[in-house]
Amino acid sequence: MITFYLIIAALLFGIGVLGILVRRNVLVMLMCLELMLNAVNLTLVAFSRLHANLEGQIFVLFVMCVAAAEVVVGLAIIVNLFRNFYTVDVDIANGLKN
Amino acid sequence: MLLSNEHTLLAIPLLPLIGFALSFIIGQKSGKQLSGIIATSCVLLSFLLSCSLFAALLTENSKLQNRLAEIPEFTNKLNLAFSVLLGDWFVVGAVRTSFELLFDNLSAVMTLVITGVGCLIHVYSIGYMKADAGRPRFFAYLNLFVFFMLLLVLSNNLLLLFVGWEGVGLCSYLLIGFWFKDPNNAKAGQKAFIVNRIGDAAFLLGIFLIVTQVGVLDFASIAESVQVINPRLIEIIALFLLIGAIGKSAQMPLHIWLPDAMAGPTPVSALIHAATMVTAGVYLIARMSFLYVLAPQVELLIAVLGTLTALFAATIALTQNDIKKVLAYSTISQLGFMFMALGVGAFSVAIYHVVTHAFGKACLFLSAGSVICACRHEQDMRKLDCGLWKKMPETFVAYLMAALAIAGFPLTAGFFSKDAILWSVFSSKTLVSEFLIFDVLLTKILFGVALFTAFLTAVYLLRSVVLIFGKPDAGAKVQLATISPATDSSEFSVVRWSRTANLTMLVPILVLGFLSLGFGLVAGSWLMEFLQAENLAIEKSFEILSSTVAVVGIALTAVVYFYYRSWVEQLLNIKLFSRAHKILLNKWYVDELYDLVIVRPLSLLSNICKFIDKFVIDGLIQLGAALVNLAGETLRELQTGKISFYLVSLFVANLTLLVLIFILKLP
Repeated sequence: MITFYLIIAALLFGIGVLGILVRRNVLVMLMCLELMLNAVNLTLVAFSRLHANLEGQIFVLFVMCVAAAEVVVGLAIIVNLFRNFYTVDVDIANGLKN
Repeated sequence: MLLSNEHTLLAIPLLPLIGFALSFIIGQKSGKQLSGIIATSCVLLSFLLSCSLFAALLTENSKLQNRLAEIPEFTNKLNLAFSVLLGDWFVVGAVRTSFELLFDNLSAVMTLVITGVGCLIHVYSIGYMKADAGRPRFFAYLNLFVFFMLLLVLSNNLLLLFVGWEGVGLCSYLLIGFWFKDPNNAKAGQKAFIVNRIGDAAFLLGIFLIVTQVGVLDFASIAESVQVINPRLIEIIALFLLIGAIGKSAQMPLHIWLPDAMAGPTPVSALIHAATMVTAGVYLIARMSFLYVLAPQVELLIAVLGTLTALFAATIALTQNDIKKVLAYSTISQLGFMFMALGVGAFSVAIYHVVTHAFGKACLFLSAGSVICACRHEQDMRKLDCGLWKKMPETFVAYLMAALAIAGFPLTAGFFSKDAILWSVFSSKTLVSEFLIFDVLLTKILFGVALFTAFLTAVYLLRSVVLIFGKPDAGAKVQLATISPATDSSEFSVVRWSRTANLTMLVPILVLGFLSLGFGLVAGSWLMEFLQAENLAIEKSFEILSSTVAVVGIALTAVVYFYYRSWVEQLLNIKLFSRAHKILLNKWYVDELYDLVIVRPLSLLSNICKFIDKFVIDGLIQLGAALVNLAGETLRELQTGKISFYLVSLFVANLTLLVLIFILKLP
């Protein structure tokens, strides 16, 4: 039973990692980030159920809070990025290089 | 000790200080002529106040003597002194130093000389510096100098004296380099300053030793407790103070700065480097005489040093051709005479000579300044052979009077003081009390050298008189080869000069000239009594001896240089004489010796240090910097600025860590 959840979570996490590494669109990258977080959430809930321990589920609630805050900040940055560069390609914003 | 006297005493040094500030501020703003007048009037006022205070001291003293005479059992002579306490300077533990001025017999004489001669030289400077743009600065420095010099002689403790001591050194430096645009002048100023530092360091060490030994610094307290100091230490202290005095008074090993100091304007040479500042060393030793009485070995050293310096400088003065150089070496030589007197314990005689020498040498310098000014700044005596005595008769008379006085012509002021010195040397008995024969022999040798030096003094001074003012008339067999080609034009400027009739320049010269001529006769014996001289009963035969020496020197030189100048030329053709002449002309090669022994090794050492600093120490630091730089250059390639690259590296790094921890089981 738990294996199923874990496989799903691993798949989700893998899709997230791949998305982040491969895509240049910052909006997509943010979504992939959320995907990874939710993969972790899934494992946490799964293990919580397996061990009949509510701490995992509580922890998931915290992660969701943090994820929501992160999205707020991240979206704000993305909007600003777009306003300044008229693109959401992350590799354009390399002003710190020199 | 009247209240008003205290205020007067306070005002004496303060007036020149005010003059310093005023001539700087007002002189820069408005008329430059004004600065000279302000400065001069401040010093004049100071001189008048000194006179009145001096008179007050005399009356108080005579009142005291009358009262003491009523007490028959009291035979000691007591002397009053005015003093004014301004408050504590600092109190460190048991050492208390205060701003306190003292006006006793010794400082009264010094104050009168400083303000009197200083005032005359200020007046002279108004004329001398008439065309100079830097007048406000000049007069401000002169006033500052007078202030520091007065502080030096009026202070009642060693530390305040030291403040004045350093202050006059500073002013000397500033004024030697007054025309600082010529680097040679600036260098001369630096030389004077640096050479003086050597003496000052020793002086300071002496002060420290006194503090550690007795814990007080005012003269009266030191004199009271000097008995408790270990005799060995007294000698060391005396030696240290002596080194300080040597530096300031340009005695033998440290004399090299004074001839170079002639780079300054001539009134400065007259005031600082002839009449006042250079006698500060003599004053110091006279002031600390209670210490030197207890250190006979050091006394002997002073006597020998003074005699050697006197002889040494006199020989150099014989051959110099620059007017001011002759006078500078003459000053060193006369200071040597003063040290001679100090060395045989005749402290007041030394001060007497300070006074007469101040008049004479100031007059000589000022007259020389007039001549230099009149002849378009020509200082080479050989080029002045155009019969100046006809064109500047007053200056000539004054110069002659002063020269005769310092040469020791009978009945002039210099004659009395130099005679007193020679007599004190001759009659001094206990220099070092262990071997009587040795003492007597040494005294006689010193006396012989001193007498010979007195003869040389007459010779070189008269030589300068004839060379400057004499005209090579038909009597002169050979004209010197280096007669100025521009004689005509210089004659023109001489005429123009005397027409402008510089009263401000002429009056001080004449006053000083008459003072140097008549001071000894009028006030000499009285001054000696005032200074409480040891009873000097100079034998008549002795006076005849010394005056004969002087007169013979004067007459011989005058005759030879007037009528038989070719003899001098022929004398120089003899190999021995020409070689001696060359050595003397080069000042015994002392500067060269110092250059070889001190300057060169020092500069070599500093070059080595520079090399080590530049290549070893700096090299190590630069190596470290280069390594860091290299590392940075290499690592910056990783900083691409692309987020995707960072993310990939993050992923790879995390993966690696996971592999390391979970698969390879690393701790």
